[in-house]
Amino acid sequence: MAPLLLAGLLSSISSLGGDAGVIGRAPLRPREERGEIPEEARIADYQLEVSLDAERHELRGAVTVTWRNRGREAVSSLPFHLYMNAFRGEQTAWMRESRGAHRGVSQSGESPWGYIDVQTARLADSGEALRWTFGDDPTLMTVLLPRPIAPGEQVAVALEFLTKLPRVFARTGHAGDFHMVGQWYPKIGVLDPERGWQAHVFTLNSEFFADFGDYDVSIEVPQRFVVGASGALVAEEALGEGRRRLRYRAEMVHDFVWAADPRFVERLVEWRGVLLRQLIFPERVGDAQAHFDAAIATLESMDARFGAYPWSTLTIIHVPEDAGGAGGMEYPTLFTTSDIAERSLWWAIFGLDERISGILTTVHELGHQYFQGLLASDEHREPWLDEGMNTFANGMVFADWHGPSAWVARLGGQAISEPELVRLSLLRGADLDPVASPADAFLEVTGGYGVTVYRKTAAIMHTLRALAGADAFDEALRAYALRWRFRHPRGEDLEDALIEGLGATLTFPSGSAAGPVHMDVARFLEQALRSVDVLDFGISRVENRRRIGDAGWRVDEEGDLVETPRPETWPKLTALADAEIEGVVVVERRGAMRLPVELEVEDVHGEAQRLTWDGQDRYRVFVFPGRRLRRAELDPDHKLVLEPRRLDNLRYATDQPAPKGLTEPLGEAAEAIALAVLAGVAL
Amino acid sequence: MRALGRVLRAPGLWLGLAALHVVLAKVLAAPVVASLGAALQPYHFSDRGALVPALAELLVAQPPVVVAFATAWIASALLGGLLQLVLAGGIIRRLAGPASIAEMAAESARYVPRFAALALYGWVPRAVVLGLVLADPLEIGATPRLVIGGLGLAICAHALELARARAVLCGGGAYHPRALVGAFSAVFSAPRRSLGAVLLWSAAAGLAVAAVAVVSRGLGYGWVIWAARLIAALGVGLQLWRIAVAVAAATGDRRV
Repeated sequence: MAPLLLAGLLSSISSLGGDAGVIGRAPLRPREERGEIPEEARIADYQLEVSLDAERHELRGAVTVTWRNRGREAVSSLPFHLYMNAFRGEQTAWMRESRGAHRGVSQSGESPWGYIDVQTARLADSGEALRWTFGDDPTLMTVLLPRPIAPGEQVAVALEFLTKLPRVFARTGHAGDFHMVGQWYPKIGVLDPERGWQAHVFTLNSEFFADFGDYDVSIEVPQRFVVGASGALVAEEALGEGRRRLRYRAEMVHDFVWAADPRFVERLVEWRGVLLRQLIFPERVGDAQAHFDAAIATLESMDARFGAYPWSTLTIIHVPEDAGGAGGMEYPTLFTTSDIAERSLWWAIFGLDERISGILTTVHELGHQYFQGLLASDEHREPWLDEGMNTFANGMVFADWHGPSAWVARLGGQAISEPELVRLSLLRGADLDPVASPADAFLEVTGGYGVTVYRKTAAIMHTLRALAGADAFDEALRAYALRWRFRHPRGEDLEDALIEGLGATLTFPSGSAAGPVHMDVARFLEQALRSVDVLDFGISRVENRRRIGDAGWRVDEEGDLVETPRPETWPKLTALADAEIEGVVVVERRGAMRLPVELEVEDVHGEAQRLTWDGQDRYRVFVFPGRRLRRAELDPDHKLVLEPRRLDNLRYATDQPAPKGLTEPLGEAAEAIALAVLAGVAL
Repeated sequence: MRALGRVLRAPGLWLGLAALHVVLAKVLAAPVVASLGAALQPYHFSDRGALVPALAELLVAQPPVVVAFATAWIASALLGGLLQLVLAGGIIRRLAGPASIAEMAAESARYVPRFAALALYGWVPRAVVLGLVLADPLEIGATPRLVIGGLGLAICAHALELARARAVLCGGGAYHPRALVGAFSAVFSAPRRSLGAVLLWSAAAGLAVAAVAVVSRGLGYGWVIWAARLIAALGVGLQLWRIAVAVAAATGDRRV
């Protein structure tokens, strides 16, 4: 749907110029719109009180965590994530791997460090003091309970803490008056009934994993600060001395984050009962509508594909230029985006355009509301389930929004789509680690995390969708998303859903007498997700040759040896009739990944034929008796997004003239620019 | 119009120079075409609407192709600079009045060393302009810098052209820097005429940008190269007109 049309569908509420928003809103959409939420999914409720010292960039807080034991065994200790301690010093696991840089942003400033210091721990009911211990890394703390918590029981633990925000370079922290307050309080781990406690040391590529619950959060800030937070604002109270307290409530979320800056300008729109609130800086206010358009397009697409967005609020936070490290991050009901690149006159002159800066960020981070926010898979153990599936969904959003040939970057009449961008990114670094690897298996020095987890996963899904058919694939993925809402699905759950939805075997007509070609979906997923095999096909030969004739001695019908004389010289191919010719095509599987691939051959009369090769053997020879071939092409519909190298997929027969193809337009472009330079400089 | 008349009375010069540019550009691009062909062999890529991803894949697989492109364009700039030295004497002579090819060639050859010295001196004010534009000491922003930078370079180009025309037509010296200093003085003492030259330089620069814009906007279409050639021919005409302005000014100087 076009952005302008989308914008017209929105009912813009107003620009309130503060952070009042709409006070008292229910955090969840009505049941009939959001669907059922399983009660057993609610495991950890948080009550938080926090005060921001904006000068010292410190948070003084208290949290009461009410945790329900939904496991099968009694629990005598509770692991807590202290994520902020990743930035405590360069000896932490996170800092050792990152070397003080994250996504190209380096740690800077006089006092860049941040930490969280837990000062007291008590049982909330009795006030009994609790002891706690640390392991090798300060990002993980274990609180020891005085008595075990039996299955079905709950315990409330109250902790007081002081959090010092780092100078922002990796998602969270401060930059002047801007405060991005993420991963700022002690967060309890996840008790998996089968695997036990899932609580990990915070490492560079790992994001987060937590149980769902309700959050009741009181935030005290200087009066001048505009605040954006997860959930819905339910109360506001002036405290005197230039300070105020804001109370938020978020339900069935697994994290709570907030941002504050006095310069924020607020923009609001409503979409199907969801309040979209954008906090943007004055100099970028002109971009607000473009971000809303992208957000609405994403919600439209994702809701239709993956089920209803359950919450009633969605906050979009912009980050200032000196806090770029905080941009492009997702949290429940809130995400940070990035700025849209400014269009100069040169962009118009040279026909440049893109939907990557800002727009793709908004699409991507909002997409996480479904995969990270709603399905909430373990991002440490299986990051591909969130980042990769979301990257795939981003391509679907653009297709739903702008049509099947949607572009994300354009140069004049040349455009590149999101799946093409994904495919090309696989050219480097996608064959080092399997997709289905835990976050900390990816090393920063190899640069393989982003391309493998985000892009290769997306390419796998685009490829499977193209092979299985869009309708069946989309339905299977929707069934997965609906079944696993609020339930922390694992990789095998997604794979089972795909196999169930698509069938265990995909069948393709071979286009020849050989019978249909079959593809085992489970085997494909196993190879694609758990190996580093590369998908690469190529055509190694296309030629026409004379068919075997009768020359030489042979036994005739009466049993006598008779000779058919051999001509002095074999006639040239051009002198032979088509019936005396056979076309030969040799296709190779150059990568280790096995997958059916289509082959299209075209003869000199323009007649095309499609065949499917199962791609299992190292190579396959196709012979076409009586056909003089002109060309052969593998994967002519470009279904195999997982194949990064496509330039060896089209070849002309050795005896047939070939068009200049890529050489001609690019050569002419080189010549034209040389001419422009020459004429500009000479004389 | 007097300067334009000089150009229009020398259509052979205009067309010949335009044809020379086209041929040289073709020659300069030949290694690129060869490099692309070698990199792709024995395969083909036929989708003219998807050149960007194909090129991206090619450049990752065959980085030397980038070198071929860069070499062609750098060589174009160097050759353009060389043509300035080699052809300027003959062009000035022809724009001043009828001259045979032999006379033009002789004049060109005669002034190469002098024009080389002038070109060297000409880089000093250009470097000052470029330095100020890049350093932006007054923090005036990108667009004003572009305008001021263009204006400065256009004035430098006109002064250099005037110095060359004086050398050829008035027998003035060219080895001493004061030849260029004197030309600058003349540029500022005849602001109307200089403004015309500045506008012509700007228009020619604009056409060069337009040619690149045509390539980027029309990449993949067969008409691109012909559009670029047409624009380049117009650009050559503008450059000749600009030189003719200097020729007219030098002639006027002599009369004075």
